[in-house]
Amino acid sequence: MFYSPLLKLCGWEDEQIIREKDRLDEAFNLLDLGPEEMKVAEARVLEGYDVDLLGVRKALGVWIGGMVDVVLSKREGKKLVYYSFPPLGGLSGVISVIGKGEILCVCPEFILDIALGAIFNRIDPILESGEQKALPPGRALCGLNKIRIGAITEGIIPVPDLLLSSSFYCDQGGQTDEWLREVYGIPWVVMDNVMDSPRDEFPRLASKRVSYLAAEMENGWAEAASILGCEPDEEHWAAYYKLYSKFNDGISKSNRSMKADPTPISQSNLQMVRFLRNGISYDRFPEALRAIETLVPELEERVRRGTGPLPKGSPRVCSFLIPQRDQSVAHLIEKAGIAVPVTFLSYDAYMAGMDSTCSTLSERNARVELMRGLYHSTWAVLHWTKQAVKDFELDGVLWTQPMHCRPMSGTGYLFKKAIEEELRVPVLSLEVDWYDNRIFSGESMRTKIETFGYLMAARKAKRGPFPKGD
Amino acid sequence: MFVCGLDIGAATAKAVILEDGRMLSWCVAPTGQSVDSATDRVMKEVTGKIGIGVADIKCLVTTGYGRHSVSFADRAVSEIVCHARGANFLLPSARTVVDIGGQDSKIIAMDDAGNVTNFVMNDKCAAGTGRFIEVMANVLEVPLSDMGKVSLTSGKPSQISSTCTVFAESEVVSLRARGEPCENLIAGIHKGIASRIITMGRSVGFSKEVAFTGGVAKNVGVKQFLEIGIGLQIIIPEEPQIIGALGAALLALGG
Repeated sequence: MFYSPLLKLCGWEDEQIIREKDRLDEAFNLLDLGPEEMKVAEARVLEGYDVDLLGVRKALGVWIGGMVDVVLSKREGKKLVYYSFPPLGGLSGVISVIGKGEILCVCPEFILDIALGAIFNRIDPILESGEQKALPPGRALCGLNKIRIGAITEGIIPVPDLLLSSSFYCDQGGQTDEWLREVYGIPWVVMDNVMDSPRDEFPRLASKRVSYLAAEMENGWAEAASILGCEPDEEHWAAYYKLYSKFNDGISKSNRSMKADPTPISQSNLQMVRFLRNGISYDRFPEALRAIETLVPELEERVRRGTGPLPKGSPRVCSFLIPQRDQSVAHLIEKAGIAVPVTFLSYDAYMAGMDSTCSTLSERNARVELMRGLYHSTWAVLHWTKQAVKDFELDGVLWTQPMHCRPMSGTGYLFKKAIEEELRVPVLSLEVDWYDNRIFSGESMRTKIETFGYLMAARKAKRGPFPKGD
Repeated sequence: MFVCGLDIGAATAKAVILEDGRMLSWCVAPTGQSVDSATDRVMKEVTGKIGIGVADIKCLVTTGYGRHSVSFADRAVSEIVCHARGANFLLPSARTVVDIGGQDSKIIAMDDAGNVTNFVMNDKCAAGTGRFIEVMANVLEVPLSDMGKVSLTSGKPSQISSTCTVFAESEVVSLRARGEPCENLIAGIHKGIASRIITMGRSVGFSKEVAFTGGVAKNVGVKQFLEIGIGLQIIIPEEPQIIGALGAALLALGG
């Protein structure tokens, strides 16, 4: 089987390859991924990922499996639900629990970005198709939404039975799904709002904000349940929490290991593992759990031995997230000697502030989402970023900022000013698209990153880590 | 011991050779289509001027956008770091460097040792770069080297509202058709570039003294509008184009 070497590299066992052979044959045929493409993918995995870590390899394998699942879902008679990123309130998870084996609930653009993009380097035609098919001239759109549109219109992934959108974080996801609804007549459930929270509110949460988001979630759940013909009960929620909390526990442990110097793993590799909870279906989730459970002791061992991709004492920064489309940006950062022990998305200190006084499940979920910051405001994102800088005693912030992302486009200068003035650490605001590397100039980015690394190393040598002020 | 700094920029390649901290030789040549050919050309020229061979160079540090393409380099360092180091060597009191090259522009803050403390660099747009002036020189059919001189004769710079190279070109063509004097148009173009640089540099700040490097520093019109806008005198090294290469050579020296 021409795909066996790649799948084994990505942590698949012989037995699993044989068990899924027919599905793999069919899916790779549909995706036009032949022997040559497998060789390209092998080279990209070896070049881009820390394959000494079996947990990383297994996680890559889960993404490939997730891609196979979504491509074949309708052929296998499953109901298909697409939710948009970032997912809201666990609904996608609990739908997966209820519909185990029958309903596939996934974030397809995330799966394709990593499986077809990062591993197979085949995402650009999908992005281009998304631009050609659905974008009015001159309109920018996040790469994730381009992938969703392009992959559906090109027939790479099936048309789903339900679209589950949240416009709390970004209205572009909702608008993308609205377009798909109009073109394909797909039922659409949207949990809507705008992030208009006042600057000084966070970390306090206005009760009206919590109750509104909770109500939107409850309405969304009810609507989705009626369309799918299933109603989540307490047992479903308990099963969902049990499985996902085990995964989150592994993620928390791996995040904590990143406090070590040197960091035991490249943040971009860890991020790829962490994102498994945002993309793949419940049916694939036990494999994701095994990947993280394999990775945690591997990272702990590296921390004990004091090894990692960069030498001890390298400048350390926080980012929002590392572009995932391929590993080139992550490599630019690491080649400049910069470690990224934490990102805004990996920093989970917000969980410490959660209490159990919420009267309903939806209220609890609403509080979690708002306290996390993304669904609250730009100021909340800034709050946790500053907290991460202090908590991890960082040397700077390398802010990856997409200009076409509605919630993030205004953060570059604002974050630079706020963090540099308050924490006295340098901030480099880097224009990127997290999911589409056609957007930015790699050479200009390299110059900025290398200079930033030099600048931080010079500061660190002069004043020691985490300067408290001039 | 001979050390060399080689700056492969978008428009020109520059090389500087130092011995014991003294500049012995330098040269500037168009980069052209190939980084390899440009490297060969400037290395032959810069070594030929003092009668040595490339093999006599003990350490070569490269910079500029082509810095990672020179196989025999000992080290590649970003041009921002090199410009700061080179400017500090020639102008020790400078704390800000405005560098406008063929393809990009940067504002660099540095300490008394020439270490970068903050910087900002343009992203994808050619506005505020040497390329912008080159395009406008072609449109107005004025030699590039005369653009600065001509603009100084203007009593009333034209209002060029667009900072985008493409849109500004069409704006300049329209204004010219309406009879706007050429010197006013050129002064307006320079004023627009200065304005963009000043806006970009606001996040870094302009501290005394300000050094102006890169090929565009040879344009006295841009210098004048920068001085007016920043409110500080701007110092230009004798050969502003070679400051990156000089900084690279200093880094090769271990300085």
